[in-house]
Amino acid sequence: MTTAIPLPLTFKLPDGWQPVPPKQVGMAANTFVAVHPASANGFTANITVAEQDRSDDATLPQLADESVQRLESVTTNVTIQNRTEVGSPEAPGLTQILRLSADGLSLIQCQFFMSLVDEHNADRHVVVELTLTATNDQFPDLVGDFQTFVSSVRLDTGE
Amino acid sequence: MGSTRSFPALGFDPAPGDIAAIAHLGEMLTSTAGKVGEAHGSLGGLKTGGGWEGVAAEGFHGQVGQLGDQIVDAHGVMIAASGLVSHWAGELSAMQSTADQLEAAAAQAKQALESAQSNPSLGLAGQQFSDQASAQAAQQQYQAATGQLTAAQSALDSVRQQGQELLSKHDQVAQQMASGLSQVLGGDVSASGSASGTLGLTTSGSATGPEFKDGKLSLGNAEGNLLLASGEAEGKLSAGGLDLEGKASGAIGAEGSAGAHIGPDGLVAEAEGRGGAFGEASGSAKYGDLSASGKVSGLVGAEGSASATLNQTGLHAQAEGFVGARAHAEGEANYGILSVGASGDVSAGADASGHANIGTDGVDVGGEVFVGTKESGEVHAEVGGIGVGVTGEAWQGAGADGGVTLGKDDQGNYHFGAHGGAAVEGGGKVGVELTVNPGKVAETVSQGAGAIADAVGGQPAHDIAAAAGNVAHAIADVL
Repeated sequence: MTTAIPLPLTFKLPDGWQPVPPKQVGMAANTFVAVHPASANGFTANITVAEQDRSDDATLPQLADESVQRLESVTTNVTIQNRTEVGSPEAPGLTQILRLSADGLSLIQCQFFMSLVDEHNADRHVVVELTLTATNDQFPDLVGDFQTFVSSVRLDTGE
Repeated sequence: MGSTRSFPALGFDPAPGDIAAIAHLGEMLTSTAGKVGEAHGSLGGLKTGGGWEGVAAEGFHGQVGQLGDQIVDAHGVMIAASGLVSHWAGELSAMQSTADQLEAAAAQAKQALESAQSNPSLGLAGQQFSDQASAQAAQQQYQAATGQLTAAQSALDSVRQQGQELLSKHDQVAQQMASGLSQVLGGDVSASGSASGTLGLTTSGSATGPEFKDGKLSLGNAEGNLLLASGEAEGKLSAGGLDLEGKASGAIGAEGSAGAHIGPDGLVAEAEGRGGAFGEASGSAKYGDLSASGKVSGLVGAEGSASATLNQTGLHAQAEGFVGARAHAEGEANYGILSVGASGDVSAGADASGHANIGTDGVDVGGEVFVGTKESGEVHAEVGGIGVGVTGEAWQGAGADGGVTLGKDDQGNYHFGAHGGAAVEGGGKVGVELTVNPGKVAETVSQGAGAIADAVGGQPAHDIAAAAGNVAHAIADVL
C-alpha cells in the first residue's frame, strides 16, 4: 500500500496501560506515550512510540547504536544486554535490551526497531521505534505486556 | 538606613535613625494597604462575575472568597504595621529633638570646661610665696579655679549622662517597635543558620529577621551556601505565619535562598536554588496560603526559581527551571488550590516555566515544559522514555483526565500516525508517501515479540533486573 508519512499505525494497549498526551510529558506531538500507573514507585514505566523518516542507508544495528549513544548522553552505564535482528528485507526488525542508570534509578529498556523500506526507493525508509522503559522491579512484570503490544502493531490500512 | 547627624560634644548619637526613611516606609505601607483594599474590592467583583456555573465555578468562587479573607488580613497587617512605623517616626523625632538640645548643652558645658581648664590660676599650685598674705591670695584663686573646673566637668558629665539615658530610652522604644512588628506578623521571630561539611569547603547558613532595606520592608531572608567539596548548609526563619527556608547540599557549588518582603510591588515571597555539580539546592517561602519554592538537583548546572506576589492587581505566581546536563529543576508557586509548577529533567538542555494569575482580568494559568534534545527538535522514543518515567507521577492526574481517549476506536485499537487522532496533533510531513507491504509489517512485529520473549526467556527477566541492580551498586561505589 502507498501511505503518507508519518506512517499510520494501529495497535492495542494491554490492560493497565494508559495513554497520555505526548506534549504533556515533554515528548513531541507526533509521538505516542503510554504509562503504567499502578506500578509507579518513583519511576513510571512507560511505552513510547516514535518514527524516524530516513533517507540514508543506515542499517538497524547502526540505528540501534545511535540509540545507545543518545542514551549515553543523558544516562550512565548503558550496556547492551541483548540484540537480535528479525524480519525480512522489506521490513527488517531489531530488538535490543539495555541496562542503564538515570536519576539514581537502575532501569531496563526494551527497544524494538522496525524499518519499513519504500518499495519504489530502497534508500528511503521509515523507522518505527517502540520502547519499554521500566525499573528493575517493574520490568519482569511488564515485559510480557510489551511483547503483546509489539505483536499488535499493524499498518493502519483504514479497514 | 543610617544617620548623618553629628554629636562631637556628646561623643555619641543618643537617638540614631533616619526619620525620612522611616516616614517613607510608613507612607509606603499606608499606600500598599490602600491598594490591597482596592484588590479586595476587585475580587469582590470577580466573585460575582456572571456566566460561570457548576462545581468548578463553586470551587473557584470559594477559593476567591478565601483569598478575599486573606487580603483583608493582609490589609489589616499593613495598616497595623503602618501605625507602628508612624508611631516610631514620631517617637524618634521627639528623641532626636531632645538629642539636639543635649548636644547644644554639652557643647556649652564642654566650652565652659575648656575655659576652666585654661584658667591660669590652676598654675599657682606648688609655687613659693614670700609672705603669708600672698600665699593666702594665691590659695583662694587656685581653689576658685579648681572649683570652676570641677563644676564644668560635672555639668558636661551630667549632659552626657542624659544622653546615655536618652539612648537607653531609644533602644527600649526601638525594641518595642520590633516586638510590635513581630506581633503584627503573627508571632515571635526566630532565625537560625547552620552549616557543616568536609574537605575544607566553604559553607554557610544564615537567616535574618525583619528589616527595612533598599526601600522595602523585608520580612526575612534565609540562605544556604555551599562551595567546593561535600557538605550541607541550611538557613531557616520563622515569623508567625511566615516561614522561610534555604538549603544546599552536595558538592562543588550549590546554594538555596528564600525571602519575603513588602514593598511597592506588594507582598512577595520568592525562592531560588542553583546547583553546580552533584548538588541539590532548594528554597521555600511561605506566608499563610501564599507559598513559593524552587529546587534543583543533578549534575553540571541547574537552577530553579519561583515567586508568588500578592498586590493590587491580584495574585501572581510563576516558576521557572533550567538544567544543563543530567539534572532536575523545578519551581512551584501556590495560593491555596491555585498552583503552578514547572520542571525539567534529563540532559542536553531542559527548561520549564509556568505561571498563574488571578486578578481583575480573570484567571490565567499556563505553563510549558521542554525536555530533551532541543538542538535537533526531535525526541526519540528511548530518551523520551527516561524523561516520561522520571516525571511521570507529577502528571498522572492530568493525563488521566486528558488522555484516555487518544485515538482509540470502538475495537480498542489505538491509531497513530497520519490517520490518527489527537495523538498525532501537529503531524507534519503529511503528503510525503511511502509504499510498503502491510503483511511484512505483521511478520516483523510478530518475530520482534518472539525475539523479546527469547531474550527474556534465555535469561529470565528477574535475572536481568538483578544484573542491572549490580551495575547500579557498582556505579554507586564509583560515585
